[in-house]
Amino acid sequence: MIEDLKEKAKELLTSKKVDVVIGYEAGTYKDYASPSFAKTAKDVDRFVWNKNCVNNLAIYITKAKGKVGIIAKGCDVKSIIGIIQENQINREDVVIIGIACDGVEIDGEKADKCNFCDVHTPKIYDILIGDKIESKESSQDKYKEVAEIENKSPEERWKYWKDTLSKCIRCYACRQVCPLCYCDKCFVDTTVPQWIPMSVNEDNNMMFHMIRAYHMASRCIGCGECQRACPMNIPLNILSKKMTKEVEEMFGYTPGVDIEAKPAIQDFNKKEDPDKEFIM
Amino acid sequence: MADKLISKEDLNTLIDNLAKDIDVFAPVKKGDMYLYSKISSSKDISLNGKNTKKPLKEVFFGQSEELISFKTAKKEIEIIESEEDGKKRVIIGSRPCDAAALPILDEVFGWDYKDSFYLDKRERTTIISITCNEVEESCFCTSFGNISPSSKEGSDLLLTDIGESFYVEVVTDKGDAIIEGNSNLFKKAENISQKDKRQKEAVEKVKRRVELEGLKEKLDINFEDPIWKEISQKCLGCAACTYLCPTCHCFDIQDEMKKSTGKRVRNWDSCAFGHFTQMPGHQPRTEQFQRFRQRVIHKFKYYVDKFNKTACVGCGRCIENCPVNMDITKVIEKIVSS
Amino acid sequence: MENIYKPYIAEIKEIVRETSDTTTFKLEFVDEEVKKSFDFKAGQFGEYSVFGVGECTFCIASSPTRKGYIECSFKKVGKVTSVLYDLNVGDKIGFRGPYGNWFPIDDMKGKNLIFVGGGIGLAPLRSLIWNCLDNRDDFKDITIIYGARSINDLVYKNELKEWKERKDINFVVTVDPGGEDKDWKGKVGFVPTVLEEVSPSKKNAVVITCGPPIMIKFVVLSLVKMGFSDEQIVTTLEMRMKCGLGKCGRCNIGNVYVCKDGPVFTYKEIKQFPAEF
Repeated sequence: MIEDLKEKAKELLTSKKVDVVIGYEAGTYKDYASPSFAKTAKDVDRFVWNKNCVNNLAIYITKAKGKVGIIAKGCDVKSIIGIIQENQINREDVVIIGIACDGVEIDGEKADKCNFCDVHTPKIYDILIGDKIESKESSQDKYKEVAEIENKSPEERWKYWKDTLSKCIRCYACRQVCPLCYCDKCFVDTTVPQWIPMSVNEDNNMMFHMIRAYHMASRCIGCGECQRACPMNIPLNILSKKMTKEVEEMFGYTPGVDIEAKPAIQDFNKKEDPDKEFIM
Repeated sequence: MADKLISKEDLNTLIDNLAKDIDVFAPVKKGDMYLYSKISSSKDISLNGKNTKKPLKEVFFGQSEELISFKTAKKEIEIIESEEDGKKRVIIGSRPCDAAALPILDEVFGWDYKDSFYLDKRERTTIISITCNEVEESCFCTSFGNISPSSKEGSDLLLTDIGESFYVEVVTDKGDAIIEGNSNLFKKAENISQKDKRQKEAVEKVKRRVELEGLKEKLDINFEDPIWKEISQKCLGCAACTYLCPTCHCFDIQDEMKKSTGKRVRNWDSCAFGHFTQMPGHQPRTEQFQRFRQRVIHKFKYYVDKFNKTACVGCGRCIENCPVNMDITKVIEKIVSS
Repeated sequence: MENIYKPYIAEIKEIVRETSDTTTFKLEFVDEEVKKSFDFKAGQFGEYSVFGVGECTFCIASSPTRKGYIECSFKKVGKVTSVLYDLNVGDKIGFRGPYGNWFPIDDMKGKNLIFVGGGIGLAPLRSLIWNCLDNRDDFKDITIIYGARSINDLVYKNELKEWKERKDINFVVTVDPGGEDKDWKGKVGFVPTVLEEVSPSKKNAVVITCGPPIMIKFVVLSLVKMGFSDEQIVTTLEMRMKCGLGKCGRCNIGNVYVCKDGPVFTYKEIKQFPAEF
């Protein structure tokens, strides 16, 4: 697979179809893989593909200049779909080197998202590396942790989130690593008006995470990068999954599937759907 | 100030005794990580754990620290000074790298204007470090001449686990005062060879190393070098590295108001963020590579020029916590060989 | 140990609306002791605060020779200045300072002084100008070249009139092309162009300049063209200062903290900095 991947990447660069190919190279800590940017065919020789290629490289396509080739797993392609739906890049400016993937690992353990993967073969791609892999219906409950929280009493739930989010140091790794968090100016950074004070405490942390979760509703595709990036090991996946579940139930919308679809949050029209409630 | 021994049991007694009267901070296991926390009993402490997630700086320079508070009534303003509680404090079980970061921070908080919040806490805190039993894959402290898993830089006492007891090396008068005040718990030092062996083993466990020779000379001249764009490319601009760094100390000052009372708070801030240097209508660092460059040059050149100290102790937290595997040792290697 | 972040309380005694978005406060310290003993040098700055909103940084715009009060001029641009702008006479604000270094006034004695200012950048120069005018005999020729985008953007309008009338100053005022009206008696043209027209001699002279970064850049180019040496050009830098005490790190540029080692630098010093301000 890796030879095929390298060959395709080199071809894109030498034919000048793209200015850069974003892929993975061997990391330098534990067995991590690291994002890698190839501008020449020679750079491509650094590329690797293995179980540790967990990073969602879609974060880099809104930052890159010129035409971009990107190595993308099925889940990463979901992010790319979201980015294109939201007009952050043009479909024709990105060459998706989709990769058939049967799961990645974080610190030797299967990544949470891989337990429920429905895109072993990416939904869209320009080039596919590897043989197509059928996605089977997962026997596990995707919303198990969400249900656990939902089953708590409001007081317990409040306490759970208060305690959990009190660990947050507001380094914003969750925001910075998220391919869909592309705002030039994040609500939490504005000073006029200042929505949330900079002080790190339970209330301010809670505000930040709640507003972020709402901003991600109908947009988060569940790549899990926020949770992986969080140095304080806050289970941010639960928050994102809760929002995804709500949107699914209320609007029948699943993000990252259909590039032509309008995300639920952009599609509300009271006149056409007088019976529908707004997202709140 | 002769070396001593203290049995593990007696160390627990010492901690319990100290915790009665003064504030004792130590690494405590919380969930899946270790954090420096105030403890009330020796039972809470973890001396053999992994490196703490957050560095020791937090105990002296809190992430959000009140500088003044105030009351406003019509046109009148009353300023209430934020008083320190003045309590003596002991830190027990700090890693030598974390302790070594304190003399580095002393420079910036103590030069010219004296930052009372930091310096006062420093003044009334005694630091009892421990030779690392385990080192992390990200540790590279031995790359710095004066720092190692058993270095004494910044510590008042250094403990080394030699089996039944801890070998106690006295570094400062402050450390000596702890022994003087609890002399019944300390015995005459013996088994120095065992201590030396343990310390040597610990040092040998540190595998990651970076050659700093020639780095400063490169940084003196490479501000405009295109290499900065290349090596910073994957940086996402979060503050995991800076907030968890034992020597990063940049902050912002903001007011917070509730009805007629308010407070002025300083909060950790980070050069990795775009807003850090944003002025109305002017932004000297528009791109991430400039912010990344600032972090590296500040640590390895500006701080050296200004205070004759490198603002890095090789604790490895930035390597461990970076979501994109930005590895400062590799960054340095690339700069040196450029 | 003293709390270095604790401000003095100052009362707003007078307000002058300079332009549509720029204002000048005359401030007196509430504490009589502070009022009596407060001293500073031209070029130094302070941290002004609205309690509950925050702190912001600008220079002291009055002359140290005028005792018992300080003045500051600022533009409504951010969170704090917007609130500050709407305060009234009698309101109280916080002040920390004076901070930073100052214009090398002792070295300027016996020299010809050339002030080149743009817009609100006249504020720090004004402190020094009055300081020099109050000790007029210590200095040789004084030239002031001041410009703004338009007539409405000129600050300290009453003082500009006074300077115009004084015989012991060569005062030139200009507005950018398009910024004049039919009654305008000053010059029309950008500050660097007017500077070259006026063409003051470099002999035994010091140039003190402050204004928007782009103006300073072109003023310096003109001065160099006119033969001024880098040491003869003095300016004051506005990095985003926060603490004023050389701690918080945001004004760090090269191995200096602008708030401590500056804000006043010669062009010779500035040339040593990395190109990042």
